[in-house]
Amino acid sequence: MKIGHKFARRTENKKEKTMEKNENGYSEYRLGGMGNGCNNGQTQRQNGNRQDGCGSPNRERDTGRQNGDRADWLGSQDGASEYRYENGDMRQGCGCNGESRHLAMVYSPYQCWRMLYTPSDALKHGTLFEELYKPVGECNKNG
Amino acid sequence: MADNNKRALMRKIQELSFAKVETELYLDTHPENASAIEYYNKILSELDDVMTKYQNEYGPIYAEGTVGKRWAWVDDKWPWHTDWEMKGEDR
Repeated sequence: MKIGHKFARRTENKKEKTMEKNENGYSEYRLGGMGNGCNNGQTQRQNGNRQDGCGSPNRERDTGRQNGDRADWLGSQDGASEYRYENGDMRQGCGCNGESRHLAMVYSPYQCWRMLYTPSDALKHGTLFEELYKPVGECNKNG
Repeated sequence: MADNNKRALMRKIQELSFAKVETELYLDTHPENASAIEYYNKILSELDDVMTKYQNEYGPIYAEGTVGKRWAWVDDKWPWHTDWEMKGEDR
């Protein structure tokens, strides 16, 4: 639930940046929807055309162009590149395939040697470290 | 009674082996952690003792544990093919 909350807030921030861009002359700047995965290898574009989502990479995608579109790289915001296509579409993402998806960012705190289970409890819990025991949910033995 | 002892020893081996692997993974990213190394050596020593005891009483756990003139590795059920495992206990 926390992840979803952060994600929503991050999306809101992106919308605010969109407004700033508009005021700076990018009159057709629009945010594409957030990508939702492979989507059967297709992604719906704003102008109604479809483009490949997770198909095999090719040179056209690597340069940020798709189906003959020309895309200009506008810069990078928070690690996500922004592109403007000839038809006015604005996109954010890694730019490697013209997607509007954002790169994921992960982190992990440095683990400390502490709070060890006994070997017996470790085997039962699937980890030696009590801090790493994170059961997703209780199994319902009654189905 | 003997089967209970065999089962307890094998369970202990599994527990210590798991703790050993977990510590190895930790040390992969914390190679200078003295406490982890000390714990690893302690687990390793205990595991060696229990495995020696098991193999002396019930035969080799690994094929390379076979000694003598006969390939005793094939004489009994596989070490992991135990009655309590087949009955689904301890799960």
